[in-house]
Amino acid sequence: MADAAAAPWSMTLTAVCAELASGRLSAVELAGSVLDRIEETEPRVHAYECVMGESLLAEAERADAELAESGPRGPLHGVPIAIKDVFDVAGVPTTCSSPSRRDLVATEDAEVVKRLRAAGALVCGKTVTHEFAFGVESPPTRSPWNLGCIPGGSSGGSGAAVAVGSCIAAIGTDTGCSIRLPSAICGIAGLKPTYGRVSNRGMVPLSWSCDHVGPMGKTVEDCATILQHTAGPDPADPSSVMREVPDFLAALDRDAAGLRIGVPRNGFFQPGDEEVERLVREAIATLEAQGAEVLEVDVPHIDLGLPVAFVIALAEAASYHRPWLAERGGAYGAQVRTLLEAGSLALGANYVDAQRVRALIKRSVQRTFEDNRLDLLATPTAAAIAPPAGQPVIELGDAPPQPVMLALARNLAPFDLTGQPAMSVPCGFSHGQPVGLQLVGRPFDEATVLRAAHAYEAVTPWHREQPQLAAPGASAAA
Amino acid sequence: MEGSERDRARFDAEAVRALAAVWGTRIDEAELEAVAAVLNDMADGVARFRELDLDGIAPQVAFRAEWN
Repeated sequence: MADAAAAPWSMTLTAVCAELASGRLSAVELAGSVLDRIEETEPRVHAYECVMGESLLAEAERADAELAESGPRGPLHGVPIAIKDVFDVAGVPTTCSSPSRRDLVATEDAEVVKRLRAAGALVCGKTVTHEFAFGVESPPTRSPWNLGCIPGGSSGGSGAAVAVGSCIAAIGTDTGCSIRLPSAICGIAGLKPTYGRVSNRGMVPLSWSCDHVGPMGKTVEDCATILQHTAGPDPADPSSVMREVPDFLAALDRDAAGLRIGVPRNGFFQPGDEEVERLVREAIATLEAQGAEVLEVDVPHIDLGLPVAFVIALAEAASYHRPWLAERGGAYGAQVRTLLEAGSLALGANYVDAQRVRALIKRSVQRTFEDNRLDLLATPTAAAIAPPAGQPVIELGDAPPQPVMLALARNLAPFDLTGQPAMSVPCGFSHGQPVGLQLVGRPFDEATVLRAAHAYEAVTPWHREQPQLAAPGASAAA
Repeated sequence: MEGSERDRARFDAEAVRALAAVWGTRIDEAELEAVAAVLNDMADGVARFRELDLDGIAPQVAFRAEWN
């Protein structure tokens, strides 16, 4: 429970729900607090593509009236949630943060938005994405921890908005890194559920076979709550999996005792920032101290994850965008247009080879889990902290400089290929910027991922730190 | 063209222009070099795929995440 004197915008989703349910806080008060916070932070953070202030206040008034007349619509009654601007929200454009789509107003909510509304949530706005979710910089959004640095991406606006409290929680997408990376960089919790667990209907795709929809929140419990109300079969979405949704919140009652956690020897820690490695290994030791069994493992072929993801995403995205490029290509940003044009020239055999190697990686990860009877893998979310905006490459150790996107997505893209659930939770600060611990689970075992992440969070202070919107060169944890 | 990286030719602006013409892909002259760079990155990855023994490994037909 949050401090009763805390500003509503600063509360966790769990605390806000309790305050709303008890009547100590109204939906209108909460909406007003969030809108004030948006006004305060947006000039520096630029997390939003579109703030839906008028409709939020109107919805909040209706929510309060509904609560008085007939009780809550659902557990999220009156809670403002931000939506990454690749999802349709009826009445506003789905821009994908691209000038090419400013006029494309959605007529219907995406399925994930419908489910949030059915649980009582309100939409406070659409958050910035790297154009078409194809990158990690997410301009013009900046990291709340260092306004000279990128927020990560592609769900950079959602990450920054959650971190500064300009929404209570947010929805993101993850095709190669895009929920977990901005979550790590912005110092929040973010979960990529199992592929097919949350419907992606009503979303502009990046790569059909790799796109995942998931929650980003101030805490692990907040993510579990959002997942609880958005997961589940959607017969109209071909990627949706017909599986029952377990009680994710029930899993949070247990600590990490008895879990078997694999720590990869290869591919995840180095090349990387030494301080990031130290913090992540400390976090793993914290779980071990709770009774988790930690063992070093090899994950063969995992280093092929990035090149495989690159080929698949380029080819699938090029297929989706072909008619749009023909019609509106001049309004695309040069970076994304170049990627899409290159993807349109890929050989079909290259794409199929990439899918075959993907199957090899999936088999390899599965064997690592089965042979070692693992519940989880633990790795750094990213091997480096956020670079300055506009910096094209990252140097990690003695390795040759790598493009920023490839360096930051290295530890994450493999699990978009395997479809496993994976989560980032804050585990400390390096040079004043947040560092994330990634926990990866078995397919459809989000409950264990959430359990371990919550167990770690419960004994560490990192999720309570709030960014001070520091100017470049002055970043520091509060 | 298959084989180690040092044996392979590299995409350049002329190669991209020719390929784009065949497939009817419109690419701005100013972006030909950048597209070539992306294709070369992709080709580097594909070269690594071809060092693998993929015998018996089929592409995923459905994109399910279940482990049977």
